[in-house]
Amino acid sequence: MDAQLKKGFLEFCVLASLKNKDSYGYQIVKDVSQYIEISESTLYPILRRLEASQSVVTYTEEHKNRLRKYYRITPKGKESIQLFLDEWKEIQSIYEYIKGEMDHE
Amino acid sequence: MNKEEFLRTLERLLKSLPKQESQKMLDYYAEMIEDRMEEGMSEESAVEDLGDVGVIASQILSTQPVKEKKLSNPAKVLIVSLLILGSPLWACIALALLALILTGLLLILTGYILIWLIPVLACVFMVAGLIVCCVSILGSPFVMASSFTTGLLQLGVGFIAAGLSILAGLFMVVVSRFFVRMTVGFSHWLKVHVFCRMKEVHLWQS
Repeated sequence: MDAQLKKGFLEFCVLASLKNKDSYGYQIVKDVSQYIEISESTLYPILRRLEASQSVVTYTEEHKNRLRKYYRITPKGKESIQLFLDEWKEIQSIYEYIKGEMDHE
Repeated sequence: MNKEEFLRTLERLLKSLPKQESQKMLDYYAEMIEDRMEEGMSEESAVEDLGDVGVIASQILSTQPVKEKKLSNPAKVLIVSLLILGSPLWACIALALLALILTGLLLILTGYILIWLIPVLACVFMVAGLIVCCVSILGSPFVMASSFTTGLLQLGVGFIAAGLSILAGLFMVVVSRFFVRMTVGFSHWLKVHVFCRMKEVHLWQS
C-alpha cells in the first residue's frame, strides 16, 4: 500500500484496536498487523501522536512482576474514528472517480 | 543478541536524544521483548523479531519531532533573504541616516557650547574685574605715596573694575538662569518632538 495512505490508515487502525479494550504495545501490533503491516518502531510515533492529541491516555500496570504500559481510548479518540468513518463516503466517491476515469478508455 | 545487549546498543545509538526521551524508548522496547518472551519466544528470537537495532534507532531518530525552527515560515524566509540581498542598499541608507543623526546631535551640542560660552565669558570678566579691582584698590595707597594723581587714577580704575565685575556677575547669573531654562526647555522639546516621534515611527514600523 502507498506509504502516505498507510500512514493515514494506521492511526485509525490503532484507535480501532483500542475501541473495545485497553491494550499494550505488543498486543496492538499483533491486532493491527493482521490487516496492515506495522512494526513496533512505526507504532511508537503513532501512539505518541495520539497521546499528544489526547485521543488516548496511558497508564502503567503491573503485569507478572514487571510494568506494562497500557493505552486507553478517550471520547476524543472515538470521535476521530467516527469522523474517519464519515469521511468514507467521500473517499469512496474519489475511488469511483479514479476508477471511472481508468475504465473510460 | 540478548535483551541486555539490545537495550545497551539502542541506548548508545540514541545518545543524541534527551535522556527522558531515550529512556521511554528503552522501556518501550524492553516491554516488547518481554511480551514476546511471555508468549514463549526465546530471548534471542524475541530480540531478533524486533529487527535490526541500527534500523530501529535510525527510524526513531528520523521520526523524532524536530525542534520547531522559528524561521520555517516562508514569508519570514522571504523577508530575511530580501534583507540579505538588499543589504548594500539598506546598509547605505542606514549609514547615511546614522551620519545624519550624529551630525544633528553634534550641531545641537555645538549650539549648547556656543550659548554657554556667553555666561562663561561673563564669569571670566567677573573674576578678572575682581582681581583688577583688588590689586588696584589695595595698590593705590602705595602709588599715591609717590604720585597722588596716578594713585587716585588707579583707585578710580579699581572702583570701575569692581563695578564692571559686579555687573558681569549679575549678567552671568541672569543669563545662566535664562539659559538653564532654555536648555532644559529645548532638551525637553527635543525629547518630546523628535525622539518620541522617532519611537512612534519605530513602533509603527515594527
